[in-house]
This record gives sequence, structure tokens and C-alpha cells, in this order.
Amino acid sequence: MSRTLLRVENLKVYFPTRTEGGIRRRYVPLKAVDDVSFTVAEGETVGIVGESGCGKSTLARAILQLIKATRGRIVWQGEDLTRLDRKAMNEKRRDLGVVFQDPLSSLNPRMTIGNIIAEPLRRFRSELSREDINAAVLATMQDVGLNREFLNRYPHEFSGGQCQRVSIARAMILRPKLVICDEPVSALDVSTRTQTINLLKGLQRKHGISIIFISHDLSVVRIVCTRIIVMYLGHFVEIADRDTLFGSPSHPYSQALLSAIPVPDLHSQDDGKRVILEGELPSPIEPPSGCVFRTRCPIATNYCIKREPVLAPRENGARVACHHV
Amino acid sequence: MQDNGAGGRADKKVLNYALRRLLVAIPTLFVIITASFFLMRVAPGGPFDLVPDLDPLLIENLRKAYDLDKPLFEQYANYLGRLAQGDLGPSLVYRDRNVAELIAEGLPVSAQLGLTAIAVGLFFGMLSGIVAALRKNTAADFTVMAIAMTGVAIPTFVTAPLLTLFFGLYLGWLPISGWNGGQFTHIVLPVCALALPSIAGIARITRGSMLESLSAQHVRTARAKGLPESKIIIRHVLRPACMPVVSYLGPAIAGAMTGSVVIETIFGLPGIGRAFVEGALNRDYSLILGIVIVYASLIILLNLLADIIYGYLDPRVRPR
Repeated sequence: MSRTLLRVENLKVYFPTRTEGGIRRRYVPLKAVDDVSFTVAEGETVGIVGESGCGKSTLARAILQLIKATRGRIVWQGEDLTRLDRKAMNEKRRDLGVVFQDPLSSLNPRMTIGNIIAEPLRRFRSELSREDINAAVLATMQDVGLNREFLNRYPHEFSGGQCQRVSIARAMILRPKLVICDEPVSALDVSTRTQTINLLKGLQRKHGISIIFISHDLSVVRIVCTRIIVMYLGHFVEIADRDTLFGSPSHPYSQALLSAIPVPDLHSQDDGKRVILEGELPSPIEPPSGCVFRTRCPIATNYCIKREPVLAPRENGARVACHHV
Repeated sequence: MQDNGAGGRADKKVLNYALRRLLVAIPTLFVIITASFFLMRVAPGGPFDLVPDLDPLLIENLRKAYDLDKPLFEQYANYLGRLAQGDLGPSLVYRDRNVAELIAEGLPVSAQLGLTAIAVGLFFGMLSGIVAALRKNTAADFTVMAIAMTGVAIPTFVTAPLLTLFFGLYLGWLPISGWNGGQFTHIVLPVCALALPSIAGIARITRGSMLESLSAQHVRTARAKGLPESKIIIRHVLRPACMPVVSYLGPAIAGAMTGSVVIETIFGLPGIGRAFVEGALNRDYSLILGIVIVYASLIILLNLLADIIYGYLDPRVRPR
């Protein structure tokens, strides 16, 4: 087992929301991320899946300290990031890359591609000469498959896929230890998506980078990740290795997610059984009592209303938060 | 990372763009002149109505002397002909002066006043707007915005007399009126009165656009890169935040340069703004047209300038 790079312990991210009406303001917390723990080992790719609004992006931003964690620890190479002041945290960002969801708007429209990719170098490697920086930028651009002629062009001149390559180049140029990819391909069309995923995988293999890969698209996560976390309404409901999860999902929510993936093979063994979820995602301001999933769960019982399940290990190695499986 | 070859090409593009815009401006000016010329003539009265009980024969002779007795279209053609040679014609009210002289006298006064006021407004307006945005929802923000709101709401014909009353009469620090060749003490009060609304306006615009660009996604990216906050503000926030201010400044400078009637009247300044209003009241046709041409040209020029600056601030709107 390789060394642990990142350990998230009992992380909670609550947002204050104001209730409507009434003279006196009352602040009710929106529980975007509620008591989650996990680890990322060196060179590992962890996937986080779940539907929109389940707290995936909030989790990513909290790890990066772009949002303050309400409670919990984020231990990065033995140091708790939540206790660092802004300056000390900024130093840590050298090893913590990020690729955001929206390719175009994540890039400053007023900077050239070259300057965007070079900025992290100028920040953290100020000893480098202009020529060195230039060479590093061109090398990284080649790494991610960007033509060197793009150096002095601006983001708006490029397609979404190319912009995402710029983001990846920017995130990779410092050779970080961990890159958090927050829905990096969901804004791209399918063909570009495959290229971008292959690019990420290639870079990871080449440089031994750990990746937290956030997506709502299971077919993408299946290609990229070795371990997968299934998230629902701010909670982790299942953590399992890829093959375990895709082979035999334990949690009813995981089963529902997996059964929603279309199977392209006409003669497949797919028995056509679908786990259809009823209703909508409950509000994270007033989450259901007990198990958060019980309002949509096909096997929920009265017991699920009373007690909140905890992640517990199963025989197949997965950890599942459910009373009934 | 600067490629000078590309920079040179971009400059040439900008020059081409400017020339094209100026060519397009010629028909615009022509339309403005034509419309003003005929609109003015539709208004009742004439330049010689001021003196009561003037001998009708005298009026007839005056009209002849200034070619006002000729058909309107002939007058129009004559005016355009002279204008093409750079002649703005004689003033109909100030009999011994021509329009060019009057403008040459008044414009520098108004321009000096207006530009100083805009400079003051830009400095204090942007400064307080930036502070307000960075300290959003704090006492500093509320104070700045309350003062700015007041500044926008109170017209100059209220602030100017109050300033005069306090600093001129009560404290006796500054002269209350007159130009005196643009002496510093004479400029202070009118500039303050003129600058207050633009400080307020610019502060509000700056705060709004700062807040908008602070929440932009690429600013989040900059934070994730680990840049120090000051760098984030300067490199990633300030430039986009300047854009609404630039577009506000174009017409604002043109307006400020051509003078404020209220301020020039209250402080007794020999500016072009006062000449314009007096010209309009006296039906001094050639003077009105002259000032309209100056004002329109300034507006066109400054808007062009604002668009060019826009291109430097944001590559997406750069001329191709």
C-alpha cells in the first residue's frame, strides 16, 4: 500500500441560508457536505460520483480551501489544511492542482494562453528565467497536445476541449502531487471527452500524479478511476474499488445509478431490469431523518427513518452505508 | 511571453480601425449639422429680436447683411460651403466676433475645468469604489455607498452655492467667482462642485463591476493557483472592472469639456457651456451650430478612444 497523500476526516461544509418571511432573521444551515471521510493515496485516482447538487463540487472546493470547511480536518501530507492561514495555504497550492468544470470561463479572457499556463510557474518558480519559463510552457503545451502557435492567442479563440487542455496544462505545469478535476469533461462533447480523459490518464501515468475525479457520468469514472465514492445529498453512501462497484454495487443508490447506464450491446446479458428512483433529491436544508436516501429508496423500512446508517465494510471489500444490504 | 511581431500587427489593426471609424463619422456629423441647422430655424424668433423696438428697416438690412433673407436651402448650402473651408461664420449676436474666436476663448476654460473635475472624479471614485467592493457589506462599504448615493442625488446647482457659501463666504478661504486666467484658487470650488457627481457615479460603477469580476470563475482559478490576493486583484479583477468605467468616461469627458452651464453661470466663468445656452436663447444660429459641431466631434472622438481602450482591456472585443 502506497503512502497516504490526503486524508479527509469528518468534513462538514454548511452554508448559512436565511429563511423566508418573518421579522427576525433565522439562519438555517444548508448541509452541502455532511460528515465525510476518505483518503487518497499517492498515484491513486479516486472518483466521486453523484447527481447534481449532491455536494461533489463543494467537497472539491473545501479540500482546496476555496470554501471554508465548517468542521473536520483535511490532512495533506500530515498537515491540516484547515488550520493554515491564507499565506501558508497558498504555498501548499503548488502541489494541489485543479481543473474546473467550465473550460472557457475558468480562464482569464484577458490573458494569452501562454501567460495563463506560465502564471503558476511565475508564482512558485520565480528563480526561472524568461527563457526557462517559455521552454516549460511550450513543453507542457506539447504534453497536452496544444499547438505551440497558440501561445499568444486568447481563450475565446478556442473550443471547449482546447480550453480544457489549457486548464490541464496550467494545473500540470508545476507537477503537482494531486490534481482535483471537478467535472472536467461534462461540458465537452463525446469525442472531445474521450481525448481529454485519455490525456488525463496519460499525464497521470507519466508523472505519477494522484487525481480526484469528480463526475456525474459513471461511464467516464469507470475509465479513469481505480476507487469510486458514491455521494448522495452530502453523504457518502458507498466507497468501493471500480470493479467491485461496477460488478456488484451494494447500496441501492449505487444500483440505481449503475442501472441507468445504457448498454450498447444488443445481445448483452442485461436483463433489462432498471432500478427507477422515485421523487426528487430532497433539500439539503431539511434532509430526511435517519438515512438520507430513504425517501427514494426501494427497500427503505421504518428503521431507516430512525437511524442513520454508517459506512461499514462488506465481504466484497466495499464500504456501504445501508441498514439492509 | 510577449511576441512583438504580433503586437506590431495589432497596432496596425487598431490604426486601420480608427481610420475606418473616423470615415464613418463624417456622414454622422453631416446628419447632425443638417438636423441642427433646420431645427434651429423651425424655432420661432430670430437673432435680432433682443433689442426692443428695433426699426424694421434696420432689421431688414441686418438680415440682408447676414444672408438671412435668402431661401433656407441656399443659406444651408452656403454654410456647408464655408464650413468645408473651416469657416464657422460670424456670430449674429456678438457682432464684431466670429464663432471660431468665441469657441477658442471658451473651450479651453471649460476643458480645463472639466478635465480636472473628471481626473479628480476618476481618482477618488475608483478608489472608493474599489475599497467598497473589497470591504463589501462592512461599515466602509455602507459609508461609501451612502455618500455616493447622496452625491448622485444632489444636483450641482445645490452643491455649488453651498460650497461657495461655506468656503467662499463663511471661511473666506477661496474666491467665490471669476476665472482670473485659470488661477488655482479660482478653480478649486467649481472643480469640486463638478467632480462630486462624477466621484459618486464612478464609485458606484466601480463597486458594481468589481463585485462582478471578483465572483468570476477565472478569479476562482487564480485563487486556486495560490496567487497572493493583491496579485489576484491587480491582474485578474481590476482590468475587467475598469471596462464600465471606460465606457462611462467617453461621453462624460465630452460633456465635461464642453462645459457645464450651471457651474459656469454660478461661478461666473467664461466657458463654452454658458456661450452655448446664451447662443440658443439669442438665436445666434452660427454660434449654436459651431458649438454643436465641437461637441459632436468630441463625442465621436472620445467614444472611438473608449472603444480602442476597450480592445486593450479585453481581447474579445478587439477589432479584427
